Amino acid sequence: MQVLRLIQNENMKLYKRKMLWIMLALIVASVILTLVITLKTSDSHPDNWKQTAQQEITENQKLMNQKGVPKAAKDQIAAQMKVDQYRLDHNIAPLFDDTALGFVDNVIGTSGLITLFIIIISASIVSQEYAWGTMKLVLMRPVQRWKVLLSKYLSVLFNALLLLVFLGILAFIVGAIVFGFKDTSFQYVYERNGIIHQTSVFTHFFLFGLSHYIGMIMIAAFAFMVSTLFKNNALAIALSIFIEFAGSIIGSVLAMFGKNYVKYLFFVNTDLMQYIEGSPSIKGMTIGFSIIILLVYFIIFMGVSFLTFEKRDVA
Amino acid sequence: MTVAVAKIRQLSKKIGNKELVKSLNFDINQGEILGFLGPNGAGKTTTMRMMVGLMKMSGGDVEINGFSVKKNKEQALKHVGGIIENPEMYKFLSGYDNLVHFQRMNGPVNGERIKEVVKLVGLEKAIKNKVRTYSLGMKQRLGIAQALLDHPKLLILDEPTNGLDPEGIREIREYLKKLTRETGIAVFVSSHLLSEMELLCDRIVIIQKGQITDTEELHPSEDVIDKSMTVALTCEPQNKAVDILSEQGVIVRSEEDHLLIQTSYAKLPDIHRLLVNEGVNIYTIEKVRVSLEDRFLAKTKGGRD
Ligand SMILES: Nc1ncnc2c1ncn2[C@@H]1O[C@H](COP(=O)(O)OP(=O)(O)OP(=O)(O)O)[C@@H](O)[C@H]1O
Ligand SMILES: [Mg+2]
Repeated sequence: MQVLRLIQNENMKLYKRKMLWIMLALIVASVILTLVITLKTSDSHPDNWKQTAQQEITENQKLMNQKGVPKAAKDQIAAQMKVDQYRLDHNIAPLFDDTALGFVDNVIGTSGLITLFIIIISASIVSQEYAWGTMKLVLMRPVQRWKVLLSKYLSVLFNALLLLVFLGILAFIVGAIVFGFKDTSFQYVYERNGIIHQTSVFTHFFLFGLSHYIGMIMIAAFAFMVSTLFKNNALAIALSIFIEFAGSIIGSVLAMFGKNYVKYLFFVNTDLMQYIEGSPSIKGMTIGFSIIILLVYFIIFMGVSFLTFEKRDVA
Repeated sequence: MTVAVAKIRQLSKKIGNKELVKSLNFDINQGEILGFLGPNGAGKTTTMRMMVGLMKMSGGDVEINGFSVKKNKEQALKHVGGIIENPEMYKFLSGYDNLVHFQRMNGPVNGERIKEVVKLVGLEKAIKNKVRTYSLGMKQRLGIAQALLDHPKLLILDEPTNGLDPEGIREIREYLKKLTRETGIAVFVSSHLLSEMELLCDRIVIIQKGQITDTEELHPSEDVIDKSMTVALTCEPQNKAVDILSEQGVIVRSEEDHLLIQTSYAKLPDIHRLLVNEGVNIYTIEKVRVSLEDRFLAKTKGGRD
């Protein structure tokens, strides 16, 4: 199929340059860094975690009885106590940092790095062809323009997935070799709306990855649109990075001032994990609401990209 | 018989209120090399961009192989190869990978065909090297190889000899001539190198300020026998020759050291025989070719933007 061949072309152009390999090297470096930090900072996990959990509950209980502890902190402490109690009741060990799966959990927390890389790739994949002057040769081929553009976006998504899976597998291998599976927990316990839930660690990883991937789909679409619109990757990268990493802060600040429109901004909706293993950052938002908002934005981003690309004269 | 591969009809481009190209009409025939000649800014590149779908047309249409570029771009461009302005390729890829890339846009990769076009343009040695290391001439040749990949019926080349040395220009000229001879492909080539066009093209279309001002046959093959032409004659005694020819009703003009005669291939032998019989010594007979350059300059005087 034509689009598949076009994606193959995009991948060839990506893999024959250094950029992606440098990104992979940086991902390896970040895993190693996490490993070093884990080895240096955290003490090895206790032999008897139940005893530790029991101690923690007792200490937290003391804290709860103290005066002058703010309410928000108390809520958190209460949640922590509930989780500990749940673990004791159901015999589920915590996900220690120095176990294979605990390490994976730590590493995938650093996947913001991949989002950064994907923003860079997505913001350049169209504009660089203009800069290289190769867009002329590409668009005078008997291929519909939308197919060219679609294959570029799909190639971004494909490589985002590749990097994400690479990170996960690398973390798993390193974790397994360095820490092994002794004492590792296969169940993940979390609190949502005051109720304790339990799930397989792998489900937790999968959902985390999926939620992260959806976030990447969105920010990549945004970067893609800006770069197609202005043929300028620097602008697209700067704008996307700003939104990706300052977006949630901006969202909370606006929410603090009681701005109602906040929940309609796309970047406060990209973190779907907040609904699954926690509670939404802004009251009244639901996962269904966020998915609809994301869909609408996605259609707008793609629509703008395809319309401008289709119409534009190539000089 | 001439078969039109491409028909350009009422083709126009307007940007803002500037008319870059105004209602062009011409055909490109099978097996011919058609030159597109005009000064800088005449609208050559703009016309070619519209022909290959890089620019939207403001008016008119281009039909290639019976398909409208406007309505059915994919079909129309299926058998068109080309280079517009500089042959910019992916510098970080090898010449070979560049060809793979562009071939894969149209269909499955066919290594045999790539080998063929590489051989045709003589790039066998460097094809595995990165394009970054190529000279301008090599890039031009890679560009032509790229254009030839899908057996085009029409090749559109915008100043393919731009920046090449005389040897490079001659090589490209030879490729193109060989190509039209061997494959019957039509070539549409733009340039402002007039002498180059004269050597390369069968026919030229002259464009100025977005309008076609003239079409010239450069190598008329049919009814050439009876076509009027100018012949320069050096002979002794010149005055006697003038008298004899005038008597026969031949248009003749006496220059300082030669005569200019208006005649045709068909009549020339008779004139020659007559003069010799009358005792005039003939030293040289030469066909006077009004250079395309002279005509072009005469026509485009002040036509530059
Ligand atoms: N995008 C554009 N917007 C406005 N004017 C343009 C645009 N592109 C080209 N022009 C103008 O259109 C005219 C024709 O340009 P074009 O490039 O077609 O000329 P050309 O015949 O190819 O010239 P050259 O021999 O220098 O390559 C020029 O006057 C140019 O300034
Ligand atoms: Mg030009």
